[in-house]
Amino acid sequence: MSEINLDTVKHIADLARIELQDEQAAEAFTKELDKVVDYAHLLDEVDLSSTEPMFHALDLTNVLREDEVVEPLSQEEALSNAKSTQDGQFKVPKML
Amino acid sequence: MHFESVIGLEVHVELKTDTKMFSDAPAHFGAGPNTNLSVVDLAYPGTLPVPNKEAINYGMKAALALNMDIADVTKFDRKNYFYPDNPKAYQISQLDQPIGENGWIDIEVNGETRRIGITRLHLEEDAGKSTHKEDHSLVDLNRQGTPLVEIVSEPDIRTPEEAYAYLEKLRSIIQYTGVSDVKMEEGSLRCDANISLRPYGQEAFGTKTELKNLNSFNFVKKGLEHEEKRQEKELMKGGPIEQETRRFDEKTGETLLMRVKEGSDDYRYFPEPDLVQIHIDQEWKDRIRASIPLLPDELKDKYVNEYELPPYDAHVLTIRKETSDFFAAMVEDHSADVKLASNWLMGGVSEYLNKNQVELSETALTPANLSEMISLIEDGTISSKQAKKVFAELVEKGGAAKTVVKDLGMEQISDPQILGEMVTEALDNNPQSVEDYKNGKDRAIGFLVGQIMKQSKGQANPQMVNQILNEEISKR
Amino acid sequence: MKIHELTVEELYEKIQTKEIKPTEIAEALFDRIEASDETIGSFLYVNKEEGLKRAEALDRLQAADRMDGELFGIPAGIKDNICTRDILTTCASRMLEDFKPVYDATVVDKLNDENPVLMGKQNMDEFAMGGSTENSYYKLARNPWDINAVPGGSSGGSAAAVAAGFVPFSLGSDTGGSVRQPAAFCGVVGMKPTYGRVSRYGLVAFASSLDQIGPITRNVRDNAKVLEVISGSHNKDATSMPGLENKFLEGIDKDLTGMKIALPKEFIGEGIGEDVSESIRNAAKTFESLGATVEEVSLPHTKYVVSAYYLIASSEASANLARFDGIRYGYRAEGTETLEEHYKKTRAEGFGEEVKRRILLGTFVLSAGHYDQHYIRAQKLRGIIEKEMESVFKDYDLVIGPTAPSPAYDIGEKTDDSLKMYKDDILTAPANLTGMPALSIPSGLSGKGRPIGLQIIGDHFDEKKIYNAAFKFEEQFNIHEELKQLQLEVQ
Repeated sequence: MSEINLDTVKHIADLARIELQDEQAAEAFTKELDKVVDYAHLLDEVDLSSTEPMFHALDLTNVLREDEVVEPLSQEEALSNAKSTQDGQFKVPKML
Repeated sequence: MHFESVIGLEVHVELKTDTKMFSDAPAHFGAGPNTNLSVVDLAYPGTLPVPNKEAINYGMKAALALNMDIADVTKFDRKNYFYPDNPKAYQISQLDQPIGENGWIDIEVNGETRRIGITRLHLEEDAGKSTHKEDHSLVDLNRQGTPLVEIVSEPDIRTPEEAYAYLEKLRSIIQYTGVSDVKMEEGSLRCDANISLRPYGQEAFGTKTELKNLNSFNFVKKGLEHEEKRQEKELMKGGPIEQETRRFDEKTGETLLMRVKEGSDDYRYFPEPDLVQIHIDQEWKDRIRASIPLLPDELKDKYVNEYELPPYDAHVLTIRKETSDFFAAMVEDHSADVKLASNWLMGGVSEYLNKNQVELSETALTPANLSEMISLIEDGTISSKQAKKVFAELVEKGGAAKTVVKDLGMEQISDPQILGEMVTEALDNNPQSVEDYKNGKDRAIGFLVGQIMKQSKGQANPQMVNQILNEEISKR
Repeated sequence: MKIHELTVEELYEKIQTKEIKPTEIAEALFDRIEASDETIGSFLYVNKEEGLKRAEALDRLQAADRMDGELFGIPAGIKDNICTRDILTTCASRMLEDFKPVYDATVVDKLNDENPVLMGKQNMDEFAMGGSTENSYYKLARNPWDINAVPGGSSGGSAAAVAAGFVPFSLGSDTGGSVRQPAAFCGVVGMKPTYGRVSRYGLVAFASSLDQIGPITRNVRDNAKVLEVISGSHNKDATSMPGLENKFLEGIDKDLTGMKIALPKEFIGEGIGEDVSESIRNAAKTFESLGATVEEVSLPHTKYVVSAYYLIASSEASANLARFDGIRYGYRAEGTETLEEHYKKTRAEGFGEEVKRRILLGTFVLSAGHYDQHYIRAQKLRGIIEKEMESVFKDYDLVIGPTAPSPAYDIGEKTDDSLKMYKDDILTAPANLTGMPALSIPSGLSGKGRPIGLQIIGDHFDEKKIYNAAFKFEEQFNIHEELKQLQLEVQ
């Protein structure tokens, strides 16, 4: 049973906003991902029912910042790396 | 109506911190687009979020004021979606360990009190703003990262009126805590509504629709009213209700389809690895709890019990913290008469604010000058009618009430000698009236008072005029 | 005196005694880079103009006896995923081909406080995804020991530059072995500090819960010295640990008598090259000769490490790399009509194949219906691995093993099978999953004359112990002379 098929890859590419050049590219990704996900099923043999997930490697809590303002970037700096701007704003193609 | 409505509200409230939720850029902005951004807000590669402690305090304060349980351990999660005003392409939010859960507020509709449950309150960051043009869109990220709390009600609300009352109460409470401006017109309070219908007596919920673009409490109510009718019509026709998002059209008062929900959106939530958990101990919770001022319901009780105000008056005075604070200052700091203070705030002041669409703080009124004006009425320096003119001055230009009264030349003539001369003159000029009086026509007194008032341009103290006149006339 | 052979400490000494000027060092190394890096491909950007200017300024300070800073006048190389203000930071990706950060990473700030000379930005696998630097969008990097071999990755340029004598030290980043494995392949010393030891602010994130920046040097003392400079918590990184002592050179030469070292049998078992296993067994003997005891232990969940690692790292990466949308910075596809098209084309054209594969994998793992099965289970396994490692550290001071299953392999050898390359991370990824510090140090040369790396893993924040063991080991065994010989050939 394979979890990854062409449709899955097309769906996740859509979620990730990555265009798949053509059917061939989609198939190549499918093949590679299928192998990796299939390999990940190695974990199925481990009994994890009584284990808590470990999201952090660090035993640290409550790292917070005081509410103190630092001078923001100028508009010019904020836009400095953008390829397309207009009226001090970032310009993007129209949304459907 | 053949069906019962089941309504739930999701309210977003912007917190009034100085800096953003996860960056040290200012959370308030005026000048130009994209001028209050740090590299964190721009989602520059390599930047990291650090939570604003005050935003967490504020979130906790709001949650406590809404009678919620505060989490012992809370954390942040990433909510992934692509949109140009969401620069990281994920929003840092809270999924399964929100800071507050299990709250409630009491609302009053048609004299009946109902308790509405609040499922959760969580912290998150706001997005920027996109402006859509003909063939492109423009993105201003100023708002990106502003701290928000999302407050989700239980589906306990049954009518659009209740929804309105819930929002009013929620806004009132949050306003009292001081954590937000809660101004819908400025976007610091936003609301989405979920509504489904079910036959009376049925427990299972029907299919719900989500309403967006509800830009005032009134629109929430109208949108829900329209949606109730629309869904009822569909159900009566036997048609199914689609799970969809609809927008309220302010012009037509109708809800229009925005998009059909295909299953649930796949936001791929997962715990934010750039942030560590937040542990909230009892000491921290107690400290925040202690910082919450008296809330509207508590103040209302106080006004009814201590000041003997009618419950309705107490309610009206406590809806907005600004009004209540003003009232309290008048009564407690400036010894204003409770009933008069309350009447003025609910009457003249409120009329003025509504007519001019301004807030109390935007006027020149102060608890001191309004209290002083009231005491001038009480001691007879000015009449109630004159007070209206004085008020008109005070509310626009401010200053001390006494000065205004003087400037308007309104001080009453209460000097017995001057008044005595006026009375004598009136009696001398109107022998017929004196005669009438002697013949038992009491009305004549009224005429004589009128003459004196006319001559004094209304400035003579009417009570004293009456008194002196009665004394003098009986001597003739 | 061959400047390129000198270590950080030697250069420091010679500058402080005014035997040599910062410009002499910088010029010599820039010349060397110019002459030979065309072959090695270790730099993506050579900071010659600014670097020389900086060196001249330091010359003047030297003349005025104001030689402040632990790295005064020392040339430095920085991996190209660490942000340098106004200096190109491309992550070896087309996506950031013209990206100049408006800020410095915290480690760059900390370096700059000590007055080094920045020589340039170093080649790597695109967005640090890969183990051979073959995934660089810009150019291939080669292993100075054998130009047909890969230098390892993802910090391949940083390790190759140190080995080739272009810089005495580099900063790399390590998410699943990306400092240690190239250090092993290039015969140099590479450290991945404890998660939280070094601020990640300004390191372009690959997998936030695993990434750490670490030094690559030619010997152990230099490594400890550079880590001292870049360590320390920072208020812009909520995952950096406050209140740590960052003194690693102190007591680095302490006797190892009584030290207890564990050698997990899984680390030298199936899938590990014979020459590698043998080198590690010899290293164990060396430690014993130094007074330590070495015992075999078992870490039975080792075989699940690669699965857990790739599920977690790719998931985090899929979100971390979502910001690259061509709107605020970076590559932007031309002529797109709609927003959807803009996103999809920009990201399809801006990212290379391996990066896309990992984004797709991560997106899949986090997507509805797969999160619990894959993401949560992987994080649970991570917990088991951590407990297993922790239990070893209850009885032992350090854990040793190989850094990589094999020495450097030939260019192109593994490019057609990503899973095969992923599996090579089995020995290095445990330290990232658990957050523990780990160092790679040369322990031998293979039959083909390619270096083999010994990995020394410590408990959380036990870097000092690792450096102590590594330093004593290095006194007994090193390939410094071979490295010098190699550097002659490079030139």
